[in-house]
Amino acid sequence: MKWISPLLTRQKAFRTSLVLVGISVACFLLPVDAKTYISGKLITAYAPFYGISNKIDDAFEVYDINRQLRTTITGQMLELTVLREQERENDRLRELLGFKESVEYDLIPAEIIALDPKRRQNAVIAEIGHDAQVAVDLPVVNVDGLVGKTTSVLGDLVTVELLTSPNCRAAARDANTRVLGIVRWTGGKRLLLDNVSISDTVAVGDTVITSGLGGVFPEGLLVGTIISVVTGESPFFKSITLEPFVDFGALEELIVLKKSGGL
Amino acid sequence: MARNVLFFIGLLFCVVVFQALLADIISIGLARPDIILVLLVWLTLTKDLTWGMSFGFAAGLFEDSHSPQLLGLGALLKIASALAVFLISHRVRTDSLVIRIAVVAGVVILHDLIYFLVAFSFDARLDAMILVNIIIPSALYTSIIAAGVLYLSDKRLTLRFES
Repeated sequence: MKWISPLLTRQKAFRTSLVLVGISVACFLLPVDAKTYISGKLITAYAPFYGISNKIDDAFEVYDINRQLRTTITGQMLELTVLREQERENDRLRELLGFKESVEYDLIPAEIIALDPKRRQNAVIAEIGHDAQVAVDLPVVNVDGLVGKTTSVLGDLVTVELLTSPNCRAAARDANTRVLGIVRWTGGKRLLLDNVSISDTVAVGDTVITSGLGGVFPEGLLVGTIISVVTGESPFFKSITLEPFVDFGALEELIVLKKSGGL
Repeated sequence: MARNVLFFIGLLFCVVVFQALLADIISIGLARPDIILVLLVWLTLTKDLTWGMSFGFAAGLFEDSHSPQLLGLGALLKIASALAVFLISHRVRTDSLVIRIAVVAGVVILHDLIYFLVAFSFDARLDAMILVNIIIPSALYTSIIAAGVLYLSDKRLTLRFES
């Protein structure tokens, strides 16, 4: 009591404290709906300042991102320099060994305009630029990986047979263990890596890429990730299921790969 | 009277803008300065208790609007903080800058501790973690801000003991 005596002697302050405490307690005990309503009204009073605050935050963020990107670019420039040097060395060594020159590809963008009405889910029709000249059996990719191959060309329209077509197969390999196989579709959303011997080593989680051995697809295109390896279904081969990198149900922009200078 | 009301509204406006604009930007890790409590202490010591409580109540309500579930709690704790500062100022000589900064630090720690205790339904484990990671760093940060604010207003700072 002795402690609060200075307060009790000040009538005005004491009354004010009682009123303010009463209002605060009442606010605290209000139903949630009423609290939310009052809070909304209070926030409206200073919401415009939050807009400015967010812009300042964004500016700081842009500065940080810019710094990160500069660091990344510097690192990648160094990496690029090393890779170019290795490429030159690789070319020299290939020449010495008499290897066939690796092929470069032109990237031709194509925009999907329709699904093939006759082969729903297995093929799409895409439009390419007027100047682009493409042929059948050219590999088609998107940003995620291998999509399929061209099967017919009519003017600036191409039919792309998807990897989820029973007729489309791709020679592939486990990027980690280098084991070879053939990717094909057997139904559903998954793919199968076929012709992998029981004795070959593959593991769940390994990435499967094209091997370049089939003649249509170049080496190194991303196909999918191994999600299951089953032995015993066949006496000779493993049954390997892949989750494709490409979402075949949500295709938009495609890229046709055409050998540079060729058709 | 009108001048006082304008000063009050201006100060409240500045604090709300500061909390909305700068508090998050100048926060270091989880330590966030509480300029409301700094000004509440300053007002209670230099103006009077009614100023401190009224300011704490209004600014506390604005602050509470971020967490509608706890509307009123911040305001209540800030009124209690003003009362505590007022009562301390009658028991301890608060004309030294160091004592005033210590008062600010103590008020921030007690205010935040009770706030988080209620907010987290008295979960002791959670509150211990918050005490170490948020409350104490915030109190230290606020004390540094308070040192600047109170130092700058030092010449104008006069204790108001009512007879």
